[in-house]
Parts: sequence; C-alpha cells; structure tokens
Amino acid sequence: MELGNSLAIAMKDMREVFTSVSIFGPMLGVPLFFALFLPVLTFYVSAHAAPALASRLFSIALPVAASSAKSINSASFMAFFSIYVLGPIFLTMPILTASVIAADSFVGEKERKTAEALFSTPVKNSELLLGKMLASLLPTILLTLGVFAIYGAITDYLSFSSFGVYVLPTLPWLMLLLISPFLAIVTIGIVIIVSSHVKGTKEAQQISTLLVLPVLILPFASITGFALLTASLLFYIALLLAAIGAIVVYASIRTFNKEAII
Amino acid sequence: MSLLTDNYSLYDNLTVMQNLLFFGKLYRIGAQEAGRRSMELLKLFDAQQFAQAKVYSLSRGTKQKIALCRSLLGNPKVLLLDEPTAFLDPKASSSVRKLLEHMASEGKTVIFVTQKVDEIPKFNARLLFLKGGRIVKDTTTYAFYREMARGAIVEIRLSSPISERLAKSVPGFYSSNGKSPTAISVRINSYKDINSAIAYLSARGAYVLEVDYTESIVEKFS
Repeated sequence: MELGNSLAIAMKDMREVFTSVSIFGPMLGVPLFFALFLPVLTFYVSAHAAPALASRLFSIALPVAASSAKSINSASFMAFFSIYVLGPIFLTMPILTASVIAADSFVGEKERKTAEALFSTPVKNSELLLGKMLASLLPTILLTLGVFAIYGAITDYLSFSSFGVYVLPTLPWLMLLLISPFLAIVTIGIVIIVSSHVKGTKEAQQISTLLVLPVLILPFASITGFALLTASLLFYIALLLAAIGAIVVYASIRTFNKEAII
Repeated sequence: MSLLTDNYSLYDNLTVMQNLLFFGKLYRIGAQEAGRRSMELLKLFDAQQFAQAKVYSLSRGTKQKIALCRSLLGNPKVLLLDEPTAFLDPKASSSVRKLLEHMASEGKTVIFVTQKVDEIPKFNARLLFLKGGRIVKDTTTYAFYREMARGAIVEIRLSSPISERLAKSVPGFYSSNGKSPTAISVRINSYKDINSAIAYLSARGAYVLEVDYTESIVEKFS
C-alpha cells in the first residue's frame, strides 16, 4: 500500500469539498453559528435568569476566589449549561460533518459518475479507503477543534468579564472533545457500509445522521439527573465508541465492494 | 488498462491540471513527469489553454479532450474508449483517430466504441457489432464492406445538382433526392458496381463527393 496514493485521494476529496460552497457552506456555517451564538445565549441566560435557577437546580464547585453568591450561581449555571447541555449538542457536529464529507466522498463518486475512471487506475482498495477516510476525518477533527476553541474562548471571555471566573476548560469538556473523533470514525464507517446500497449522497447522509439521536439524549439525561456527564462516564463512552468504531470500520473494509458503487 | 466513459469521469470542481496530476499520481507517475506528460497531451489536443480552468466551466467537446488526455496519461496497454469523438470537431476527431491508430500499430489494444457507423471505414481494424449487449458480428473493416457490397443500397453524394433524367439513368438507380438531385441511391452487388456508377456520372460531368453505406449498415443491424 502506498500512503502517497491515499494522501492524493484525501487531498483531491478535500479540494472538491472546499471548492463547492453548496457542500462546505452549510457544513461550516451551522457549527460556526453555534460556536458564536450559543455562548452569548448561555451568558445572557446565566446573567439574568440563572441565579435563581442555579440555586434551585444544581451546585457545581468552581474555583472562585471572591465573588458574590449571585455571580457564583451565574458562573455555575454557565459551566453546567456549557458542558452538560450544549456539550452534547456540539457532539452532533462531528457526526454531521463526517457524514456530509464521507457521503460526498464515497457516494458522490457514484452520483457524479467519476468512480469508473478512478477504479480503472491501479489504485488498491486499501489506498482508496484510507484516502477517503482521511478526507472525511481530518476536516471533521479540525472543524470540531475550531468550534470548541471558539466556543470556549467566547464563553471564558464573557464569564471572566462578568463573573470573574473562567468556566472552561474542564475535564468533562475536554472529554467531550476526545469523543468527537471516535464519533466521526463510527459515522464514516457507517457511510462506507451503506455507500454500496444507496443511490445518492442524501440517502447516505440521512442514514448516518441517525447517530445524532442517541447523542441528543445526553442533555436530557443531564438535566433530569439520570446520568450526569462526568469525566469518568465520558471516558467510558469514548472507550465504547472506540470499540464500536473499530468494529464498524473493520466491517466497512470487509464489505466494501467498489463494483457496487460504480 | 485505461477507460474513457461517455460521461468523462472528471472532477468538476478541480482544474484540468489538478485532475490530470491526480490521475497521474494514481497511475504511479511522478509529479514532474505527470505535469510534463499532461502538458504534452493537452497540446496534442489543442487544449493547453484550459490547463488552469475548472472542469465545470468547459464545453462538452473540451471535457472529452481532457478525459482523453487522462485516459492516455498512464500510457496504457489496453485502452477502452466509449464514443471518444462524440463531441469533437472534425479536426480533433481526425487527430484522435490517427493517435489511436498509431497506438494500435505499437501493439496496444485499442477498443473504440461508437454508434456512428460512418466512423467504421475510417479504421482498418477488427469490428465487433453489439446488439442488446451481445456480439452479433465479429469481422474486419475489409471483410465487412466486401460483404456489405452484396445487395446493398449506397448513396452517392455529388458536388452539385444533376438532372433527374441523368440520375435515373445511372446503373442500379434506386432513388434520388428531388428533381435536381445531389444524392443518388443505387443498388450494388459488388465494389465494381460502385465504380461503374461513379464512372458513369463522372463521364457526364458530375463530381462525386462521397459514397455513404450508412443506411445499408443501419438497415442490416436494425
């Protein structure tokens, strides 16, 4: 296997994605909107409604030196909301991003009828799969890192300027970041498996984005107290996703049939 | 093996050169060599000015030229071309045919798929006729036309109109186009009959542009 061929395929796919506004526009626009808008919303709710809410609902220890009780409640609420409610929502981004790119990368070749020429080259299945996985995984990881960084920076700026405390990063928040690549890998594996059974990119995306559903349960689990997203729970989730990812990718490699996507 | 499909199989959002360099890499050609060969092929098809153009901005004919460049880039031993001249102008079509004949003379296998039966006499090659996905005839250009000449109706096209009377007096006359015909259909049984008809017309001041077998071929295989 030649790594150079895989990198060439990955570069080609990424170039294609990032020169088409119709593909990368929504893919970047929605996460960036979340990263910019949600910290401001969180801050507004924390500053105006949180003190009463926070004192009733939860108590999160924060390294606050000298602040009023009101500020503590506001900062606590902001930390809670950022990690336990919005954190899982941010986890939907690697799923959505990876599904868009992977569907375009695998099923797009079939849809645009470029697969025939690609498969007539001496490229090996392993090179092709690795290249396309990298094309989906690298932008997803970079986008997730970027969104977490922007969200964290705005949240900290607002929390420090008003409550005198940095609410991020915390260990659970970093664990959420750790989970992201595994979610992306599972998504990519599912897209590869379904790629030979679907006719278009939209079908592949719709199937793979079903993964969003279990992730969206997490904020409710936190709010209702059913399962607080502690660092240890998130670590176990990361381990579980790593195992699922390995199985899905192995299955996708075994079932990948390039003839079926011509 | 290299393949040229009827939909070109090019990446629309990439430039022509990015497409060629990408396939060059997959054909295991070094980047420098792939760049040099790509420019050579683009020049051969008079398309070097499109090297930095995005594929989506090109006409169908130019896309076809680029797809041809891509299929030739890896210097393949076997070349499968699906209607490679479908959208090319006559000059480019002729260049492509000459290049393919040259490749075939070097011992390479060139499979040229076409629906245009008037392209048949332009090759001296083995002919396979397909119908419903099955080979219905396996022959050569020479043998095919010899066979076609028996009981076929061919069209003789003229440079200028002749009188209807002259047209009807041509040996083997079958039909003509109008009262001052420029095309006459004649029934033939051998090549000799074609020569007789052409000689007859030439002797009476008519100039023959071409002899067209298309209708007979289409009829034979429909």
